[in-house]
Amino acid sequence: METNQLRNCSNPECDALNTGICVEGNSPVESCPFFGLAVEDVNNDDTENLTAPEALDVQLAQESSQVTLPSGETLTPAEVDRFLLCKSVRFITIIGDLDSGKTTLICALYDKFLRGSFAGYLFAGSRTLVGLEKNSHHARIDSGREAPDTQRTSISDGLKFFHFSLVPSDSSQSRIELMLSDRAGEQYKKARDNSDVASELIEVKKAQHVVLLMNGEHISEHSRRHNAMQSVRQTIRAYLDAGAFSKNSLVQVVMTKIDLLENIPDKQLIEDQLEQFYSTLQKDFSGRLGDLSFSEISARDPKGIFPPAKGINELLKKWCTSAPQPPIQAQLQIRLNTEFDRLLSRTPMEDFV
Amino acid sequence: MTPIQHTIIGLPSSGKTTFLAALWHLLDAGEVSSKFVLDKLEGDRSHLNTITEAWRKCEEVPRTSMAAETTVSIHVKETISGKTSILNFPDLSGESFELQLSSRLCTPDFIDGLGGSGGILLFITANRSSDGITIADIAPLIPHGELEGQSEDHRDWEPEVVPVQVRLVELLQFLQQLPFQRRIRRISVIVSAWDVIESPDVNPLLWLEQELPLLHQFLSSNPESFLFQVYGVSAQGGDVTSNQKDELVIKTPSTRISCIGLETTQHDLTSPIAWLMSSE
Repeated sequence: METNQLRNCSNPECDALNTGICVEGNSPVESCPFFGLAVEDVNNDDTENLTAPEALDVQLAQESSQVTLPSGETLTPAEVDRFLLCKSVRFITIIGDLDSGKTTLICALYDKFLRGSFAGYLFAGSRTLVGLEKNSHHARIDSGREAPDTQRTSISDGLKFFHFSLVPSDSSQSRIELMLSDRAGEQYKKARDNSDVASELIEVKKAQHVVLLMNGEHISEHSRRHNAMQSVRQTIRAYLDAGAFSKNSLVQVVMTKIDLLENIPDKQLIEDQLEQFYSTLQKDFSGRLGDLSFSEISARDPKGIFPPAKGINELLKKWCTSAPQPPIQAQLQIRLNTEFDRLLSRTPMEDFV
Repeated sequence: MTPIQHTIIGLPSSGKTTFLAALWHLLDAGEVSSKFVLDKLEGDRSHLNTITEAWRKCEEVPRTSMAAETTVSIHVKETISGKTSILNFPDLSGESFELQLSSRLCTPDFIDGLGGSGGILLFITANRSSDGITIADIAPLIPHGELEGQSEDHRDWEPEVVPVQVRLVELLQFLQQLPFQRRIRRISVIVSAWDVIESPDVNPLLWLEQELPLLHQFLSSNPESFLFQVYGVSAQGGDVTSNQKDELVIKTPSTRISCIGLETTQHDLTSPIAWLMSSE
């Protein structure tokens, strides 16, 4: 095996010298940080199980004693648990089928804060700015796209959270930490089909608010309308029966993409059917839930009939006024006898998160 | 006499080095009144002299490359109290901060520099183009229906496309977490190239709120981490790459400088630094 040898690229999976194509997607290939680097044989050290970018990060950090900073990417459940050690959090779980607008809703909320205060709240920070930026990219002109798009959340991404730290602009409340869940729509469809999957969705049980999205695009079409409605109804029933929803669950059924329901011939018929649908849901399920409410949003109307993030301000206000999940109090299993031992219990945990 | 290290943060071409050059001339020349005056010359001043020579000639001050990064030390005396201090400013290149954002790494020196009682000079240029524009923003300018199509050809995300205000918020958020010391830091936000602002009704704070609303919200809503003031600064006095240079070059150099903000006189570039060191 080659060791300490100048190769065409330090990434062993890349044959840029021969093919002219960088597996990292850099063009020209010389702009790739791995191209032309002399590397140690990575199989002989601790970086064996790391991907090429991670290995380079480790290498850089080791060589120059640089200090690693937070990644800014979306948070994993383990990272959220760590955050919970010191802060109260409001979990907002957004459920919806593929292409129902889960990520677009979050991006629209972020875009509003990029332009100023929103719904009476100021942006005070986010641990997931990189994640928010990556997801917003395809709606910006820098992406080179002709129409706004949102990258699909893949099943392999698992459960992720976007973080917003907000403060009311009138200082009426202290800082609010929102964790908005993001998971592939396919997983929620599976949960609707299978009660075992529904009971495993930890973000549903943890949530202070569950936002159940109903795709307005499907509602606007005769052939898909009743399936869209029924999938919402079935989701509520499946989650209740699987124990994922309870008497404490605050569920918001939110119809997305309402801009697509404007100026269509059978608008009145749709409104009548929706009214009946909502009324039936209330009658059948509101007694088994903490709250069941209905609202409509247009996160991103490409025709500009509705302003950006229409309806999301009301959702945000509701999220921010619910009681948060308090910080996790880690119970020590050992007896603290000396003042030195007790020092730990007096240490502000936010210094470590 | 205890040295005070202030930290300069800013992305490329945000006016950091031009500010240092103008500051050094102001202190050295004594042409206008200021809150600080030069106390004595000590140590290596070659970097300051090099950048200031270009500034005096109304030339664009050479930007700091990562290889040329250095810390400048200036011995100053407060005009009113006579108190002396050593001000240290690491002149870091804007690329260093871009690298910090893309690699998510920083040097121990940078962390150490923020460990003392000094404040932060945060640079933003007013001479900037808009960023973060969405496709929906330009929709009204495009004939109806043209946004319906979907181009196959698109650019993948990279750190360079992140809007300036988001990048600056992220750089400041780093300071709120370990290994940085948690404390209240004073930040003088320097809006450089203020001469390009044409409306007399816009003050520097209002400009920040209108142009970089996310950064303004972030600074306003984190009083346990940051106290801030905003200054509009024209260190060159105008556009030295245009015909305006001929008018500027005949002026007494310090009178080219303009500084707008809290408790400052017209040419006093030391005001943002004095505020960093005040306790009110």
